[in-house]
Amino acid sequence: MAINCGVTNSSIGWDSLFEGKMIEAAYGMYNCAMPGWIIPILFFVFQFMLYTKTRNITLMWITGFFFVVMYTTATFIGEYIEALSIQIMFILLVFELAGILFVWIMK
Amino acid sequence: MKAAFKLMMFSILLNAAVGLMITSVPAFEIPEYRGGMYYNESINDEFTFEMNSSVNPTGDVEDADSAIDRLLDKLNLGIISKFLNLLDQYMYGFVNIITPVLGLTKNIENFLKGLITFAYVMGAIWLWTGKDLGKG
Repeated sequence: MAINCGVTNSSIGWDSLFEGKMIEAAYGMYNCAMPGWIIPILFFVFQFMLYTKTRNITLMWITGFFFVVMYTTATFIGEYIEALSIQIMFILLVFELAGILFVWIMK
Repeated sequence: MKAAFKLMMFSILLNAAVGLMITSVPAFEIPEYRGGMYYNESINDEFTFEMNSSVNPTGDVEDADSAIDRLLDKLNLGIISKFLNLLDQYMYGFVNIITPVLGLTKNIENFLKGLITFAYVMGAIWLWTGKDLGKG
């Protein structure tokens, strides 16, 4: 789980860059700066932007749901997933869904 | 008053939301996220395995009446235990979910359950008599 930045070229994205895998290289670079947390940070930025712009919890939930599904099924992320980050996103999505169901049923 | 029932509804829906998320996203299928809530194990194990080991109609006492009585006692106890577990899940499910997530101690969990019980009692009085005790 621990990423040894600066020692191996594969951990900071150089190998991926030379192989022409741009997304993987960018992910490796940012994930080396914030080990295991770049995806949850992006997730919260998207959620916050959607909330401030639209105030639409349903849209936030569906977008976050797709985001999490893509995150957890992406093959190149694999070994760097931080367990706590999934847990945090899970709790947020569950509370959003519960709120959506509550408003849907009670009003 | 109504806040207690809204909280109960919200905890039921929180339960449903957790189940939906766990079943829809494979990466979320991790035992810790369930907060100790398993449908099959928490309800069925207690009702079948423990009953099988303890109920013994043709036991030491060779008396038909006492055997039937014992069986009925055990069944009633099983039903009561199952009923209490269901109450705990659906009326205090909100506390049961946030306890492992926030790492609360047993005392705080019991305090929260007592608080919710108080709100339920107030709500029941409101439903029965129409008086809203919370408004003085």
